[in-house]
Amino acid sequence: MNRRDPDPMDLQTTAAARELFEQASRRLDPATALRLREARRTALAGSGQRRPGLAWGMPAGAFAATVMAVGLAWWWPGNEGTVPTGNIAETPVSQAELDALLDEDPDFYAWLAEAPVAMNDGGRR
Amino acid sequence: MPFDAAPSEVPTSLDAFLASVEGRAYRLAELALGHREDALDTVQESMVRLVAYRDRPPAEWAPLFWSILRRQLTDRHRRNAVRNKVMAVLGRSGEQREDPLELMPDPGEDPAAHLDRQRAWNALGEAVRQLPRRQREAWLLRELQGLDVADTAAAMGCSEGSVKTHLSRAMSALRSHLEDWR
Repeated sequence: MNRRDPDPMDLQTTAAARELFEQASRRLDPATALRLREARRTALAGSGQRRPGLAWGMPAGAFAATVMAVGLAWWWPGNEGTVPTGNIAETPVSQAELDALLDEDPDFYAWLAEAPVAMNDGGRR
Repeated sequence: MPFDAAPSEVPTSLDAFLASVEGRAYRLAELALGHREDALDTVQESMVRLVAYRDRPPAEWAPLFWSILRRQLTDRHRRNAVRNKVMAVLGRSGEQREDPLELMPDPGEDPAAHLDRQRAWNALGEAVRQLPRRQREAWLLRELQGLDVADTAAAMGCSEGSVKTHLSRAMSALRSHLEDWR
């Protein structure tokens, strides 16, 4: 046996795992099979429809960061008079940041790009 | 290694494609995550994301789907790790992970055979989840899903050489975890 040949016992273990995986994939319980069909239908229906539960499945990290930000905003001493007067829209945003945002939720940002923008004179464009 | 368990025919519609992979995707996610609901959510999210590529040639759907599923599994692992840390800080041990549906035998199946298969499946899942992430991904995609080395590398975003290294290390680790199977 050349030293690159796989160990026959490894092959046996892998074959047993594959067989188990094949059986498990073919034999889904009815409830799971139904859930998968519904998931497929929802995905194909498109337009951002998600299972209601997913809305609550917000990443725990994002939730924790939000709680921390609100807590800090509440606790942090105010610093009136230091609000920057520059135009926020002029703050440079890197292409990498833009790509990351667009990748995260393209539908939302497409909508945002089309939404009317309030002007300083009270009008909208 | 002459193994190609993945469906090889080019699907005629996205619906047909998703129907052909949903069972395998669910079982793969279940092995990787160890939780039915997480696995179902991950598969659904992967389907939703694949639909955004529906205009791509059907031959590209399979590599795209497994690549998306892999990324979704990674995200889910990270979320679960954060959730577990938050629960630990709050002094809670986390939600009950055991799924009662898993304990229900398939009607018409010998209960003893069902129990044996369930135990083997759980042991496989525990062994797989002990692997480092990249080794786990390589082993699941190549050895269970049956992607060839090139497609596995594409799905993992690495070289074929890296896939072979991950596979070799994964097998070494599984050798000790799955000794009872020999």
